[in-house]
Amino acid sequence: MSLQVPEAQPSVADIANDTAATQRTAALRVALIGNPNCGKTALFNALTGARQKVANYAGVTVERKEGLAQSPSGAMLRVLDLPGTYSLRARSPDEVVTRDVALGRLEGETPPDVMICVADATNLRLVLRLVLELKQIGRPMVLAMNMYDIAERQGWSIDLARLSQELAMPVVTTVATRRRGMDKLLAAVESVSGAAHESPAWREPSAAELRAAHAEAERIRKTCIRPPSHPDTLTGRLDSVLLHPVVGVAILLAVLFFMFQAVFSWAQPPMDLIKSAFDHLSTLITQVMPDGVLRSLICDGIISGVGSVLVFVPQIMILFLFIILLEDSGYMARAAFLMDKIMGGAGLHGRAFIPLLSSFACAIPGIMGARVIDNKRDRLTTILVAPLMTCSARIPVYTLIISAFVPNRAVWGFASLQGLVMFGLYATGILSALAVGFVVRKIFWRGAAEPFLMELPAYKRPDAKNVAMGVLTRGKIFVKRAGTVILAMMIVVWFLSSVPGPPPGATEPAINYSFAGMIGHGLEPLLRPIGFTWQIAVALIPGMAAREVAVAALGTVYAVSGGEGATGPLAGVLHAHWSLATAMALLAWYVFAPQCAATLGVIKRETNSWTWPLVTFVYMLVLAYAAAFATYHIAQAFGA
Amino acid sequence: MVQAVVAYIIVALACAWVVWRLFVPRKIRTDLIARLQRRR
Repeated sequence: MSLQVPEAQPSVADIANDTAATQRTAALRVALIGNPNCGKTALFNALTGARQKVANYAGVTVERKEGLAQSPSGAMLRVLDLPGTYSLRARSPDEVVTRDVALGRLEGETPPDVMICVADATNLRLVLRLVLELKQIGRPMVLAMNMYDIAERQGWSIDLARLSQELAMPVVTTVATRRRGMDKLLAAVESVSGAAHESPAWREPSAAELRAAHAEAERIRKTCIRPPSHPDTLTGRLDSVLLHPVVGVAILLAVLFFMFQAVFSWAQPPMDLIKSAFDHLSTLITQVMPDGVLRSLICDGIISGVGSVLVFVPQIMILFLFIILLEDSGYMARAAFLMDKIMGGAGLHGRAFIPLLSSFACAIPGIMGARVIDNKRDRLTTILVAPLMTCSARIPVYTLIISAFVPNRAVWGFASLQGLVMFGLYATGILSALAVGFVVRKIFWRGAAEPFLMELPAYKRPDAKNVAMGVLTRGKIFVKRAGTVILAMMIVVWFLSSVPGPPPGATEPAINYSFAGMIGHGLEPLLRPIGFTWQIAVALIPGMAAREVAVAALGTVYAVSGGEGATGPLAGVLHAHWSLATAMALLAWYVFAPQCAATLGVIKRETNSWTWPLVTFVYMLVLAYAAAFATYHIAQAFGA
Repeated sequence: MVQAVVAYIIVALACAWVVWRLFVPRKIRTDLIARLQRRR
């Protein structure tokens, strides 16, 4: 087994941004290095105009990112954003990337011309030691004192001139989220870029050298920095409640419970609006176009398929509004702290919380985020369980089935039953990830649990612009998928559902004679024990590409089928065709099913082996079949 | 007749796109796009 850190591949957008090859070689290479959660990515976004994800906890950036910036004098700079680190003594794969870029050891990379050491101005204790360590490399450096507005507000007194003198480098104050101080920072970078420098061979410091560096950092800190006379105790006071072993967990559960209730109740009006817009569009096309193949493609294939997925955009945006608010405020790091004991009991490393949290959006960043874990077995366990966390692609499937089969009524007087079922599905995803982690780590790969250390960030008011940008980005990603992969696949599904046409004198719906009908009926014997119909079998095949495609495929298949009960909203159509036991079995299937080709691809890339995607696919498929089988038969026994 | 021709051209394009997007490795796609852009 070998785990390798893949080289970051530039995306098409990155290539498009690099306007000319000559520019690439002429531009100054500037690396952003600093402790985790000091605002490096926010600074990168401010300098380059990029929109990389930022959040108020450590470990968000796990790979090298690159962008172009222009200095006030017009010079081009290639800015590299790197994962956070406390030292060049790298242990985890993400820290290795930072060390190798800083030292110019990364294959195909020249060392940076200038290093910007980014510091959180309210938390300078550890960064000064890193600055001293980076100085050993001998490259020109600038210290960016980020979040300076918060430091001023809290009453920190920093003698910038003295600090600059002690460290022998320019010190510039910045507020990355407001883009303040960018021109001064770029001017400082330009001013040091021409300075003569030596590059002595770096070697890992000994314990004595580290102690000496720490003592020197402490001396500089005491000389140049005076803490506030009235320290801000808000974070401490909030933490005494939010990190309480009983009250804290109860608050975390209440927050999650409220989030899923809101996802269901707040999203309903915009969802109804989108649904009626697609219905009107379909009616309009039916009135304008003569009956024929093209009209069927547009109405039954494209509008029914893509429209049935697009109605879930409001729910996805509301869910991400909550997730980003919790991340930006600093509460998510507390959730990691609260979950550590439970995760440790299940054999998962404490640092696995952040990758698993990212997996709520999509398993891909979650699997990549596992690079923050240095132990190979812990990292691999996290990669194996990450796809079990409920990603946003499952939302359309869950919501469709819940709205079709779970009555929209209140329980206990205040909670929506639909929201409660959604909460239960998310909880099942988390519990199954913990259970698989337990089996892997406690039975197959026994080993001592490693301690989990994470700096808890101070609570902050979420930045409205960052929140809005994050929510819009998630919405845009979903709409883009609907307009590209899902649209193309629905056209293919429509074709397979319409061709060949029914023979003369046929009495059954046309789809029964089509390729899709043949495939569905061929697979039906395999899926009948778990209660799935042949239409579900047809939807599951394109659904292998991405989970939400299955919803669109169901929309297209039932629209092409026509007949009684096949018109109107898809939820109503499913209610007319499926038993409750079938619906519950499909929900159980989707909690576990490995229906995402991109996730399997990224597991291959991260582990550099086909073994692990295959293991993931097989174990998830077995769990999905077993769960759907058990659910279907138990539900039938209860008369569902 | 015209409807059928247009519909099946759309189907052919969609099939080609699905093959390109799902079955051609990302590296090959990225390299090809980069080469095309350089040529332009």
